[in-house]
Amino acid sequence: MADQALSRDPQMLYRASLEHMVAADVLLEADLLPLALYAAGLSVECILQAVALRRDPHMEHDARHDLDLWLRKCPMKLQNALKSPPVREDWNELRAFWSNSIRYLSHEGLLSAMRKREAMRRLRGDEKARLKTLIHRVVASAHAVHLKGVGAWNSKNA
Amino acid sequence: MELQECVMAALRERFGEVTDYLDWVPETQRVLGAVASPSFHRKSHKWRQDRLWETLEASLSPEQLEHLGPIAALAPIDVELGAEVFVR
Repeated sequence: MADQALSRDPQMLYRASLEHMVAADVLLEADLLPLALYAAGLSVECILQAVALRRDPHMEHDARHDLDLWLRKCPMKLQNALKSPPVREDWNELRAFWSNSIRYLSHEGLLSAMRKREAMRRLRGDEKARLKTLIHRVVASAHAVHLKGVGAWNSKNA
Repeated sequence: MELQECVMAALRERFGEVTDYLDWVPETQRVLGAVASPSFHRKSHKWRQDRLWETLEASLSPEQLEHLGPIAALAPIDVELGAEVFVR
């Protein structure tokens, strides 16, 4: 299918990652928290795919939506950068809270999911405020990770 | 002057040393991509984006701004993939 070929185009994935990160910020500003979180993680997924597929266009597209698996297909320099402090914290936070299934959640669904994981326990304010704080924090982590991916894309040494 | 050159001139005037990682995309007639500057080192994503767009909005015409897509603001260490302190 033409769409499938398009989704393996590294240049398109790189540009998509840039656009999705802008979208995440816009959605966050509008308090559309589930989609903001989804778009931020999707942006990271896109940049990892872009870097991995540019390196090896014939690799098996079997990492699905697993950020860890996509990172393993990226050059070692990027893997090391994301697993070293302080970006390691951001990488771990994103991995802990993002999944492809977030796109199906309503605001209440996201709140319920985070409540079950006790993810907001140490945050201040009522539940609404705590969820907002948490999602802002995870999106900020996604930004940090995404910048490293964009750096890797533009690096001669990655 | 081409749009990409105008963008880089505006950013260099504000931030000094700036490396160009921008692309011109003919299909959508947009400039997008990334720039890197030591001025962005240890600055949050929000600070970088706010200063970047503040600079471009002050320097470019509305018609030129319409032809800009997303631009990531990197510090040189993001491209070198070294370790650093990243401030949120």
